[in-house]
Amino acid sequence: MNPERWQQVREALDRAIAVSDEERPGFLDRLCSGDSELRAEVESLLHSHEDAGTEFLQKPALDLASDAAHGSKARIGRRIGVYLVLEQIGEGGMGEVYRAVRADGQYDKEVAIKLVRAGLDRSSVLERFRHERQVLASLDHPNIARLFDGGTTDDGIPYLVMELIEGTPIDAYCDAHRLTVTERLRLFLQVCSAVQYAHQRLVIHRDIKPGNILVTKEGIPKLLDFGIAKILDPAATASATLINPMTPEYASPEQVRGEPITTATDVYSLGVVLYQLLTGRSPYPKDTRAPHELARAICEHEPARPSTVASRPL
Amino acid sequence: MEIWGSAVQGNSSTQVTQLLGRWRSGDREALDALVPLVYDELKRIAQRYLRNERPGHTLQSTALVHEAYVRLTNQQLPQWQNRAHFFAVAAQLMRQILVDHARAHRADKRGGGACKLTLEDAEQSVRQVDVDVVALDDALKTLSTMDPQQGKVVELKFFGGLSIEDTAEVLGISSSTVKRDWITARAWLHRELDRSATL
Repeated sequence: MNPERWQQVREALDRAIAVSDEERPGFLDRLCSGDSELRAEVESLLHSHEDAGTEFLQKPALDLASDAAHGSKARIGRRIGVYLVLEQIGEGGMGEVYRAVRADGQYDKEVAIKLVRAGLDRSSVLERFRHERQVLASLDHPNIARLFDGGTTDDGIPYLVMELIEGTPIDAYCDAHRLTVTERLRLFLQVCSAVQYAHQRLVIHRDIKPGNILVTKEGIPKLLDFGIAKILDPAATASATLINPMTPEYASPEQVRGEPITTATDVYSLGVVLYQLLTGRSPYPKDTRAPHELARAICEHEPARPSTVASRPL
Repeated sequence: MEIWGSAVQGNSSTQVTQLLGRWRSGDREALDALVPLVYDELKRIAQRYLRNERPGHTLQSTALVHEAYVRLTNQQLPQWQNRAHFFAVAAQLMRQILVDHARAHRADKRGGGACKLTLEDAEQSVRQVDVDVVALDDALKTLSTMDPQQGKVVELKFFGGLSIEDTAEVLGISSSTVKRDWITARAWLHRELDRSATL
């Protein structure tokens, strides 16, 4: 197309885009009267304009190249250890989670593979992982997702292989099923039994939050990522400059202060979860969002009794 | 082992600033001297992005060109005209770097068809937008013969990762003109890529 013709076409296209769908045919009739070639061209480009949607070329080229090289898409259909990656099922502060299956056909049960986000110190993560894996793999409880295995991908990223749990976070589950207080407590007691079981084996979860307590279709709560926070916790190493993966909303005062963690840490987080399940809100004042404000609320704020803040009858 | 985040040597940052100034006042040779400096720096930063895992989901190209500018000129308070000139060069070089990168991938996977860059959308659904960067580069060359300004808009926005506003600043036109150029150029390019994909 020569430049003059293109100017004519793009001018017409530009104006046609601004016109509503209903008015467009009449508008094009007037605009391209007698020039059927122009009209065909504009209509074809209008079609492309719609096909292009909002995404086409929206993300800069380098980001696309980077996604292709490292993004989750690059993992689908590839192997991680002896597992074949089927699809991505999640993405959290810790890294991406995939659904996968044994590639050698030895077992056809699907597993969840969690890749540990780079940026954390890999060698110390791996060292802690080797240290902890046997303890964690020995946790065998109906309400705890099993840890099967782990290792490093070909490109050096640590990963964990876990029981695949398909479920809904406990808070969303309770609301979606409009559970009564008694039903909520029954569910919560099962979570407590899982935590008690682990504590008896001297394993602390360290990151209890609704997102780590999934309730299955059958109504069974399953605790995910038991002890994983310890493997990932940079505070356990000398390098203190890394980001703490701990979820502040459910953290205990000792976690916020960087003090030693005990089984009471989990009990505190369970308390925050229970508070939310019963009241529908956080025990801390509203609008406490910034990490430093939240940290202060966690250490200093005396929460109101759940019975006085329950916003609605459950 | 490269050390990232370290500032470029003082000499070379003064050099880049001076070259930008000379180029702005019409010295074409200054541009010739500038290009290799900017190219090397951009390539190093781009490779870091491509080699390492992503720091997050931020738009990296935008950060990259700005980072390159700060590092090369050592100007925390950018001189606006210099900055616009720098972005223009940088976007052009980024295009070259990324098209070369895509070509190299094509060669790697010979027989595997074109190397497509994949974008997962925010909802992480199955829907995806593929862009064959090499084909896009070809189409963009054709577009530039029909409308050089539209070609520049696409180069700055897509390859340079610049915002509408920065693109407008570089080209010395209004933001609304950039938007119009962008929308019609996108429609045309989308059609060209569709056609080249079905050939």
